[in-house]
Amino acid sequence: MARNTLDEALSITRFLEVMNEESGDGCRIAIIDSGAAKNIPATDTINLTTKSIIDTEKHGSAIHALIHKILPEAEIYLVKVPDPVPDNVLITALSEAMRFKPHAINLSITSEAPSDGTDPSSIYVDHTAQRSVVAVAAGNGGPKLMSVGTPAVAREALTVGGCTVSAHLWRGSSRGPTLDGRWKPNVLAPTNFTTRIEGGSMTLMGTSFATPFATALAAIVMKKVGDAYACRRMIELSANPIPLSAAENIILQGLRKASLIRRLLETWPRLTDPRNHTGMGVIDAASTVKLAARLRTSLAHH
Amino acid sequence: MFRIRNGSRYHCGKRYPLACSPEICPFGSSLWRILVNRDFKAERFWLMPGMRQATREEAWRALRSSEAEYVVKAVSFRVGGRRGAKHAG
Repeated sequence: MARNTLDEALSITRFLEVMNEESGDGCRIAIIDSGAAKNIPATDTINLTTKSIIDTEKHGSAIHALIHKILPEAEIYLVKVPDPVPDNVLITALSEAMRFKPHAINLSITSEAPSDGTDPSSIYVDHTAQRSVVAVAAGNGGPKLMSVGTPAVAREALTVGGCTVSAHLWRGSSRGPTLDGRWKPNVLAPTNFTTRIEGGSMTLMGTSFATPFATALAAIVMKKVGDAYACRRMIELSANPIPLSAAENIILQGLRKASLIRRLLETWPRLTDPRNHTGMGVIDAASTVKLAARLRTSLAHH
Repeated sequence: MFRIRNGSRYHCGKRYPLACSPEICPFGSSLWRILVNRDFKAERFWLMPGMRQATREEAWRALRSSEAEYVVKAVSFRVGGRRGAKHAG
């Protein structure tokens, strides 16, 4: 088998085991990104730019294609935003996306602006996450600690870091904690793999392309359980922890002096929480779907 | 992202009217340094918790009049950050 392929990514997330039963039928997914892929269906689109809805950045189209490959029967809704996207436009995009009543929203949009979750974008993600699962890319600021920024720091976001297809933490994946000391990301999904998109072979690198795996899983589970909080927790609790490689030197975003880093470590031990690197581990589609089905049956009996 | 400049002085956007300093930083003195090192210029601010956008002058006035509980700098996001899709071979 070729190395670092989408099949391997689907294998380590155990999507291959559920894809026969879970093709996305009835799942609604909204993507907020740089546009749509040319030849892949979108149920509806909203364009917040003055350009064509078709992506020219090779970003939104790759996300669109990935989600379509994972859940070919899902209804996909696209909200195109400019790049860079100001926070007020992101908030508008989230609000517009909610018109589609999505089970899950894919937000592969990042910053390294540190926050405690009280900034407007994080607050709006939290608001949106009451009704839909919002999967947010952790960002590509790793291996520096505290490189995760808004909106990935949002309390209710399902923040997705990156791992390799051999289930090792991807070095570039942004790390927590948030400014108020919460660990992030929540889970990991594969990145740095190759797949065919729009007729060409592409290598997709960055947490942007890890996020669609979590979005797809969230949509499946959300359709089953109908509660965004329960859905996020099930994805977290059924994730597979991965070992961290040998202890690396601690490097911090925005702080270089060793004595200051030492002092911060002494006064703020939560900095050394391993979940700041890997969250709860690599998402496990088979386990999460099984857990959701079990919960649904159990609740039906009460 | 939580501090605001007035003239030559920075004030804490979360603890008006206190000046931005390690001693009063709501995140602690060590994190204060990280925040200052990672600070950025912004044209616009958000008046919170009402989530209304304003200029720096308006934000300053809103803090003084207690119209805003705290202020936050507006941020721009990157679609995809520093990595992306590359044609492979």
